[in-house]
Amino acid sequence: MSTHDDTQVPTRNPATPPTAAQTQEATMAQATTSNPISTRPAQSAHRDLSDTPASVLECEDVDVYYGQFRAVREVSLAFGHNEITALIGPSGCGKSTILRSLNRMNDLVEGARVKGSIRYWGQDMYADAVDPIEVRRRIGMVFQKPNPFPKSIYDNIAYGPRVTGMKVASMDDHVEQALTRAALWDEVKDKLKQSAYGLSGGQQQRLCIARTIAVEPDVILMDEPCSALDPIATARIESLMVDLRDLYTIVIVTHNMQQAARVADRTAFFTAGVDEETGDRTGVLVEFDRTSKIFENPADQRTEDYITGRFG
Amino acid sequence: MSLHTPATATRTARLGATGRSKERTPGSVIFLGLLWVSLLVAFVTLVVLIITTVAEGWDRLDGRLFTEFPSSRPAEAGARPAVLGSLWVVGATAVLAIPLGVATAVHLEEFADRRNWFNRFIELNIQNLSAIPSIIYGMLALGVLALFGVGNKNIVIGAAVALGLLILPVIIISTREALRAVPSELRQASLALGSSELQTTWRITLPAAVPGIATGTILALSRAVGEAAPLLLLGGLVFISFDPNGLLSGFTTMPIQIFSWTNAPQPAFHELAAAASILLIAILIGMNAIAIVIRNSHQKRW
Repeated sequence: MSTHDDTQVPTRNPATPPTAAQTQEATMAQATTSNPISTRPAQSAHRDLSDTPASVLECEDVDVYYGQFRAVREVSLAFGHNEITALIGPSGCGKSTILRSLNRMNDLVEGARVKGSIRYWGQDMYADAVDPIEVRRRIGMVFQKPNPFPKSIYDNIAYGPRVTGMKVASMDDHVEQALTRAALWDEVKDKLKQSAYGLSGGQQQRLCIARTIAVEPDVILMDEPCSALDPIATARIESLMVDLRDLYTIVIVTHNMQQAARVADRTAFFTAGVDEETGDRTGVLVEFDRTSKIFENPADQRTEDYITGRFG
Repeated sequence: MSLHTPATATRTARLGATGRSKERTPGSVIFLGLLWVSLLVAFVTLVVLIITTVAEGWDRLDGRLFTEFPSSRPAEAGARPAVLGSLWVVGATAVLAIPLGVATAVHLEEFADRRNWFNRFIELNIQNLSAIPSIIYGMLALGVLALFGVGNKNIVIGAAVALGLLILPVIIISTREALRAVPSELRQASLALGSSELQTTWRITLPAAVPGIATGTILALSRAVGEAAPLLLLGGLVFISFDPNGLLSGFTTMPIQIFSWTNAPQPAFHELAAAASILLIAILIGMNAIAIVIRNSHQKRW
């Protein structure tokens, strides 16, 4: 049971970002009364950032193919250490494809191929000697739909450390720490042995974040993590992301431009380019800059059209 | 005919007063009637069969059926070796067929490359195997035993080979369906945490599929319990006056015992056959009930 089912969901006006931020702070105050870790209101993107990110992950001229079909073309991007980077753009622009190639989850799709180089702390992630399992352990992923395992809450968290053979002094403490960081501990501490399926959607998604944190990754990829959640659960996940960026590098794909504006330090805007000859839609990176720049003063006309709601 | 919505005031009245619904044309009524008749034929047949069997065998359904050995005197005869033989054979069948079937299904569903022609060929053959008459499996088991130079074919392990081959396709197909029902999101979540495909299969996919696998397996085994044809071929129709006590022991099973008693001229043996049939039906209903309970108690919403 969520404790704030009866809370009125404030209407957000997309045209006025300050209002959205205020309503979010308001919901945050209600949502976090039992929750010491996320009392800090979600910060907007306006914090001091270096001009070029100190990159954890770097894409250089990346093309992703599914069989013969080129899904994304010539993407060059750098994801900054302890920053939140948002990938936005209309459907079919390849933002999820890029996200899934950042931890080699694309390897699992038949026929998927990456051309160009993706580097993790300077090492080529797709080199022959690199074990994709090791890549995925360092670069975790949270999915669109909450997907807890059909196990207890405790076992959901403990699964990752167990299978990866992590040495933990006390699994109980480790589980508590992961749940605390994901701002879920107070809600579940009395029912750790109960099925994760008894949690609400928002709690399940935070459980999935906790599960990812439990293997102590360096980077967390989030593929539209809030698209299946209500606005209040969304607000909690957003504030959680802002809390977590001091510890992890976060990359988030979102359809929600306001979400990118609220949480991301930097934003990359993708769109789909149509090939004149074949008619194939290929994703291209249009613009990558600080979030404030993208939303207030975009350099490219297509970015401006998209963020002002003219297409997409 | 185009639909027309009248003014709001009359709408409810019109709808309430529908005289001739499209759902009750003469054609549909006849069709419905035919469906009912089909159901009735199947149901009545079953009920009559069970009632006549129970009426005939009820008096003979007592302790002697379990404790006595077969005899030429009906009053002293029992199905003790047949009951024990069925247990031995089905147990050995389960041990042979379940690990093999589940492993095959896991390979085909989780690891095999579906574009590979050889794997597709195997899949096609498994589908075909489930349609093969059971007596062929008896011949196959005979061949296997001959290959190993076994002289006396009437042994428990021989029957287990025949029945194991018989239910293997059923187990493989139901296990594959159970694995396919596990959402791919769970596999992806596990892999994204840095577990290997083997760990994911072993710790996430298989446990999530266990209810489906158990249901399919129990139904397959209950088919094996009731099967007689392949065992007749293996010489299961014998007069056994000892308890089967191992994989190489001679055996007979309940369906064969029933078959043998039905063939006897004395009516008293027919009563015995009916009593043993009741027992067999009870065992099968019990096994199916367990399968249903497992299925219902583990139903998950993903």
